[in-house]
Amino acid sequence: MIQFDHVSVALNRRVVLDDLSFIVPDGATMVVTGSNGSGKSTLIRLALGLLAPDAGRITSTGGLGARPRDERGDHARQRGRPATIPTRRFTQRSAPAADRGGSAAVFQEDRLCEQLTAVGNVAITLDRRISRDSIRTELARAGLSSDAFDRPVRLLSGGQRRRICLVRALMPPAQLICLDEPFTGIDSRSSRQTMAYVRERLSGRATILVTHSPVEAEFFGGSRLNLG
Amino acid sequence: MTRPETADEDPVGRTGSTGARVDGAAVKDPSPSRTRTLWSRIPRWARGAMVILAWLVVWQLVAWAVRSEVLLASPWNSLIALIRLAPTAGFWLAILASTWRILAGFLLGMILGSVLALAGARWPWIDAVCSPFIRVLRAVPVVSFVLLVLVWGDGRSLSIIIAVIMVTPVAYANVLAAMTSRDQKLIEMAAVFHLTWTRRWWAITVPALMPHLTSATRIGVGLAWKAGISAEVIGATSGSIGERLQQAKLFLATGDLFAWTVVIVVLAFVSERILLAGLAATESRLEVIYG
Repeated sequence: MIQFDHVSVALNRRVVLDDLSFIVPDGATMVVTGSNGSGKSTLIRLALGLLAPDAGRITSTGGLGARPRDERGDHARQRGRPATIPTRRFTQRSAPAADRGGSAAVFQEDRLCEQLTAVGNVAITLDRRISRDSIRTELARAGLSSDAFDRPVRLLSGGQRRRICLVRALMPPAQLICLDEPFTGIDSRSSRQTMAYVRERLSGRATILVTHSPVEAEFFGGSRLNLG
Repeated sequence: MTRPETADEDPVGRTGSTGARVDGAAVKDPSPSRTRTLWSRIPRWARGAMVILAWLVVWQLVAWAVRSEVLLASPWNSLIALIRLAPTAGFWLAILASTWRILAGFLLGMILGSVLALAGARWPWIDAVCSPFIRVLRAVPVVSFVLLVLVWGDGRSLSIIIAVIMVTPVAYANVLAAMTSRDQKLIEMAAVFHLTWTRRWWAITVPALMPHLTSATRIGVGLAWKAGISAEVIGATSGSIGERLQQAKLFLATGDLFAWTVVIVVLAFVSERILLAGLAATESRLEVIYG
């Protein structure tokens, strides 16, 4: 579950989101649409705790738990700055997010470790007990051809990389999933199969999906939020 | 992070290595590319050998022009001197003594510079404290350090200390640059997925460090050899290459001087190659383990 309660944020002195409130319960999907620069990616960053709101409260079962700046009493000083990522708090734990009901995301950019293989990029986000064969199975279900499993991702095409991003976000049993234009670069012939895979893997989790595509919005259903 | 394009994504009209358009439509003057093709057809080792041979010819011509073996020994006489020196035990002992001291100094400098830079990247106050000191190390002439070390203590470890002093700033600057140039988006990804610190280290930090460590090694090995040998010459370190160079100068044995110089160049080249190969092997091993 994730809840935005009268959240406002300004970046570079420009109000990006103003008094935004919504709730996405577990198992529900909220589709976010809007023109370029309307604050869709900012909303994702807020949901993931990568950015602290200037005002309001975000309650989530995942994310990094960045508090509003006014709660910390340093609102003026911190205005417009990203939240400090509480690295130590999480890195000292032995298991990754998968076992803690945390968050997972497909970012607007791929954000893959270029030297690692497709399997390696997914494996680093998972518990060591999860076998590489199960990762290969998931990658195949997402539509990645088997010859790409063990190649460094720097050698893969945009569509192949995007499928790896999807599997990386969906394999951990995180309770909050943020998908920022997740199907960009995936060819139209197989995108429906990939979307079906994603919808199946999202079941039971709170999802925020940012998209420009009416087809994707229609396919995933759920509530809609248009940021203008 | 930018991604190299794959061959199947090559856009039409992209320029090739010769500057001519790949689609061929704009190729008007093929002569520059022909010249490069001829040169590139020769095996790499043969190209290297040809370049070295050309410079040896230049050296020999200059030596003939100077007509004084004391002022400038010819390549031939230098080779003769090298052949005369090579069978002696002292030759190899000097090489061993200087090599271990200089490489030990290089490794210590790399470790010290890297540790300080990693700490400086994690805690900015350490960088604030270290940066002025590192700048001073870079600016002070090596001879000042040599004389200081000779005044303060033992001349036997002189080349080790001087190599450390030369290499530490290089390692510090490169590792700090690597840490600050890590992809922030990947760091955010690691935070969102709650990667453990070991996974962050191997998946994000080490790949960012590797090119900078390679660069630091290239620069550092050369510096360590140059400064280390200079220190041995000034300090007349017993049983070292530096001492042999000093003796060659005293006895006006210019052939020996050139022979030892060639030995130093070869040692620097070989040690750089071995260290770079070690780094590359470590990187591929990590890819196997974490890939």
